[in-house]
Order: sequence, then structure tokens, then C-alpha cells
Amino acid sequence: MATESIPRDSTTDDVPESGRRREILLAAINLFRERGYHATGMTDIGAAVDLTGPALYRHFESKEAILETALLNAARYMENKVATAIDAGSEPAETLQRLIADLVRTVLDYPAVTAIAITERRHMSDRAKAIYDRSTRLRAAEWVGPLKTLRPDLTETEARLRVRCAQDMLAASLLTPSQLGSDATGARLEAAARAILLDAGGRLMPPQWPADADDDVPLTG
Amino acid sequence: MTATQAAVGDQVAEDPRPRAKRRPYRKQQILDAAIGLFAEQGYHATGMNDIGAAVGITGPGIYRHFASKEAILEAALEQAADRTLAQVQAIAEGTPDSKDRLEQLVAHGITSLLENKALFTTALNERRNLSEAGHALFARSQRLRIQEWAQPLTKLRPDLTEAEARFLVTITQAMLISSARFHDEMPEERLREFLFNTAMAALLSGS
Repeated sequence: MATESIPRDSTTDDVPESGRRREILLAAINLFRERGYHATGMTDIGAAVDLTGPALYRHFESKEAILETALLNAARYMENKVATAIDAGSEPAETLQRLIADLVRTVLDYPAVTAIAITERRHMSDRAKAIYDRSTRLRAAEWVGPLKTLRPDLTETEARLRVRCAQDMLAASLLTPSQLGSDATGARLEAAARAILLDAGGRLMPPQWPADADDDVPLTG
Repeated sequence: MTATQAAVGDQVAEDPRPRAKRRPYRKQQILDAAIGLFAEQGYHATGMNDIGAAVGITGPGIYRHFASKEAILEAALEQAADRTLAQVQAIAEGTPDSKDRLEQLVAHGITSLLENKALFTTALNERRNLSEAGHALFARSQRLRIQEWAQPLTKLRPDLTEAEARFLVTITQAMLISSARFHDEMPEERLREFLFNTAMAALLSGS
């Protein structure tokens, strides 16, 4: 499986990581994605960066600390990108377009950390989870502003849920490998996110298909 | 007979108790309780004892029904996959028009998702932990669900290659699974309508 770097800003800007810590985070992220958090041991992470157990623990006190650092760095990286896009002060349509494009880029550039943010989030401590979720909510809220200017007909709840649908769709798209090239994947993802945010609506659901008559039949019998 | 029934049949054959003492709903109760616990506290954090406690039987009692935690997850997945596939094929056969068929399939997908949200979430997060057989089962049923939607979508949108249609279906289904968490944000009827509209928008996007 292709390995990836971790978001650069997280090491150069406000979350300084030394070269060694960075290497460890990188190796761990890729192992977590390939095998799952639970199946990955500190020994595996150490082996991937040629460190013995004790040496590894000098950098991170636990596997949980590695996961939390990686996910919180990624959250901060994405928050910074959102802030930059909002601060540019463009027209709402342009701002929204940039927010979408930035997230698509991040997802495609950093697939492992994006994927483990979905599948391994619950292995974080409650404290780290709270910080991470707050960051997720903040990033969603920043999309709601321009969306509501463009679609004043949407209720607050609907605008917020559309944003979550679009953002979740982008992240979850990684859990199944794309058969399209990376450019085509990016273009399709951007168009789909735009459509979810701006075009959805006005369709009547078809009458419900008859419920399954077998629903209450027990497995044994 | 489905594979699930076959597996269940094997288990029952090994059950030492007299027939009358067996509780036919037990197996289903265990499956439902386990899936709820997996989604709530994670697959790894859930022990056979927790599952037993949730249905009022001791840990060892559970083993009369399922050989392992993995077997429970796989049985639940297989059951859901069989049921979904049968329904999806019935819709496909009964709805020749591509637009109607796609809309029916999306509506059905949303209903079945809201009914099985704990299972879908667990499957998505834990599929690396499945046995090879469980993994293959999950991958096969996902492929079939994608294929069933991609067929009418390709007919409806000649601008898409088959790979592009499958990609749009894949991301739409992934979005629906993630958004099962919205159930406390809107009344169910409105949520269904909302998800239907966002899903159709994603499927028809980029034309």
C-alpha cells in the first residue's frame, strides 16, 4: 500500500514535530490504516522506524498518544486551511468552492490519516475526542455561512446537515479504493460535494417498497 | 437454504438440550444485542460476557449459539446481506424504468440503512477484523449493492463510463452510511426525504 506523508503545516507551523516523532507518526498512521489500530502494536511501529521499545517510548508514551497526536495535528491542519479560505474574504460562491477544493485535496493527499479519523476515532481518549469533535464542528460551521448566503431557503439544520453529508462523503470515499485516476477522482468528488450542498432538493421520495415480510422470523426454528 | 441457515443448523445440531427447551429467538436476540454493543463501545471493547449480560445469559451460554465474537459479527452481516440482496433484486426485477428503479433502490437503501445503522457502522469500521470468509462476504455484498445501483445510473446517464457510475454510487453509499448518525437531528420522515435528495444529487452530479 502506498505510504503518505503527514500534513506538512503540522510540522512547520504551530505543531512542531521533530524529525523522529514525525517519522514515527507517519509509520503509525500507515500501519493503523493497513492493519487497524487494535492489531498494530508499539513493537510494529518501532520496527517500522528501526527503534526498540524503550527508545520509542521516549517519543510517545503510548499507542493512544500516537493516534491522538496524528489526528489532532490533522484536525489543526484542516482548521488552518479553512481559516485561510475564509480570511481571503471572497464572494460566498468562490469561498465555498475553495473550501470544497481544499478538503478534496487534503483527502486525496492524506488518505491514511483521513481514513483512520473515521475508523479509529473512538480509540482516542475522551479528552482528545472532545477536541477533535470540536474541530470537526468548527470546520462544518465555517461552510454553513457561505452555503446559507447562497441558499437562503435552507433551514439552519438542513444547511448544517448538508455540510456534514458533503464532508463525510469526501472522507468516507476513501474507505473504498477509487478505480478512477486521481484527477478524475478529485473532479468527481468536488462536483458531488457541490451538488449535495447546492443542488439537492425538490425530489419526492417514491412510495416505500413493501416491508420485508420475513422481518420477524427467528433465525432458528 | 442460505449459508446462514446452514451455519445455524450446524449449531443447533450440536445443542445438547432437548428440543423443547431451545429458545428460537435467542440467536436473533444475541445478534441484535451484539451489534448494538459493537456500534456503541467498539468491537474490541465488547466481550462475549457483555453480550451475554445484555440478553440475560452467562458468557458460556452464548457459546452454545456462536463459536466466537467474530462468528456473531459474520452471522449478522450475512443475514443483513442476504435480506438486502433479495429486496434489491426484487426491486430491480419489478421496476424496468431506469429512473424509477434508481429512485426505488435509493429509497430502499435509506430505509434499510436506518433500520440497520449499528450493523453498517460496525461493518465499515471493523471489516479488517473479519475472517477471510467474512471479509469476502462483506466485499461481495458491497460489490453487488454498488452494481445494482450502477446499472440504472449508467442507463440514465450516458455521459458516465461504468467506472465513473460505480464511483458515484460508491461515494453516495458511503455518505449514506456516515449519515446514519443524523437520526436524532430530524424526525425520521424528514430525514429520509433529506437523505434521498442528497443521495440523488450526488448520483446525478457532474453532468
